[in-house]
Amino acid sequence: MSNFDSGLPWLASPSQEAQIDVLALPKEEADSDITALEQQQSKISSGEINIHHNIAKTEPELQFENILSQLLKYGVFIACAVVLWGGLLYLNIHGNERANYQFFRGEPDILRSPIDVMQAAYTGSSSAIIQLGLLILIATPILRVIISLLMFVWQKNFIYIILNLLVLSALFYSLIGAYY
Amino acid sequence: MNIWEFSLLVWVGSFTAGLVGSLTGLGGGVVIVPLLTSVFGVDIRYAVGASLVSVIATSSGAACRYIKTGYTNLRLGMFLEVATTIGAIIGALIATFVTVKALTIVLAIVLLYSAYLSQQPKKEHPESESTDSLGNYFQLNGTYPTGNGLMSYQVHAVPAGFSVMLVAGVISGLLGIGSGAFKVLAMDQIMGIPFKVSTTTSNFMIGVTAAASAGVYLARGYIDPGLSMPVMLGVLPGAILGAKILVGTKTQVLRIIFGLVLVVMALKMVYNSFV
Repeated sequence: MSNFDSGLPWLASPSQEAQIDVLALPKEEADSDITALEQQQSKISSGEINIHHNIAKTEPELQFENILSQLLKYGVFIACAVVLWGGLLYLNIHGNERANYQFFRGEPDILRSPIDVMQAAYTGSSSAIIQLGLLILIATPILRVIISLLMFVWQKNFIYIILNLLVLSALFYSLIGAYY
Repeated sequence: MNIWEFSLLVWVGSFTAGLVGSLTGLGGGVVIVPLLTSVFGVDIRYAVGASLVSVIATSSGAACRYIKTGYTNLRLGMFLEVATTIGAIIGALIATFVTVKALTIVLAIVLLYSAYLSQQPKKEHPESESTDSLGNYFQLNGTYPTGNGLMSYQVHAVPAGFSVMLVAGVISGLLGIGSGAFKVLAMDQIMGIPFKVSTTTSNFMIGVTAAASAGVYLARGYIDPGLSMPVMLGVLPGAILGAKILVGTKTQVLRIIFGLVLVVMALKMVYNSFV
């Protein structure tokens, strides 16, 4: 670490030395402190590290945020695509029927449980395909909780393992328990 | 009105709701239910189901951008999600027992309260050095980006904030809205968290909260595909567009108009339910 210190005079605290260590390790030895310097500077300019407050997010934390962000983006995108596809089919078949939502009848049983919806969507029912898209949408935040749970298991952060397990059991109770 | 016309009109209404909801920071969900019930004459149970689904879409769609900005406090969100998910299931179960009239009145109160909150000035909290033992135990303190780098902040009054989150969860489950206004109230006003952190973390939690009550609604047959489709496909692009034009626009006039719309809708809903 001493050669980094000479090149980067603002690195005073031990926590930021650890930060450099993580960033520099995968790089080749010859240009390691140059790339580390560039990365450090780009981080400063993008506001991720503040030299006055000595606070920085660790690399795994940023990776974790990135994974969650991507998951949410693609989850919503896929759900929208499925809903749109089912929606066009639905409008094509039922478009000229009368819209009737004034009186609550409740959905038919096949549109009420995840397994029935999947089976009905497989047979090509347009309502079930829309419902499948909505299920994918509902599953996205649930998947987010599962990935967070795995992340905290890996970090051995027991408080957050328990908190995420609580949230997850509430979600599963809602999706499965509500039928009984 | 046939299904084509109905879907198109609901799509336009939902798009507008998503746009204005995102511009004012109140979320589209709070307008969708009154819009569907008082303008389109939809039964409140179908309206709640469709709104809930659209709330998950906008929350997840916005969260993927907010997380990258560094404002969202993931641990704080996950901690408070324990309260909101349990509250959401309780709310959704209550919704299947109470009368439509009672639901309407609760929604009207929430609308009026949201209208009131939308007129309140937003203030950033000064940094404070005092610590909260529960906040430390649950590792809730965080940092957020400012003009001159990351600032740290401390979380306060954890039990009180957690309790208000439980109520926010119940309201979300009961009415199929994100109840972002209550979540921000808990974090911003009670727990002393910077406003931008409160709004982005609230948004991060809304998806999971709504997913918790969505399971109950699905099982009870409240989620209608034909109605949810135009609502979801309308609110989401509206909200995304709103978030894009929000940067650098003055929203004061819009807030006042939106607040008035909420008040009118609340009064109309109460009026309709007694006539």
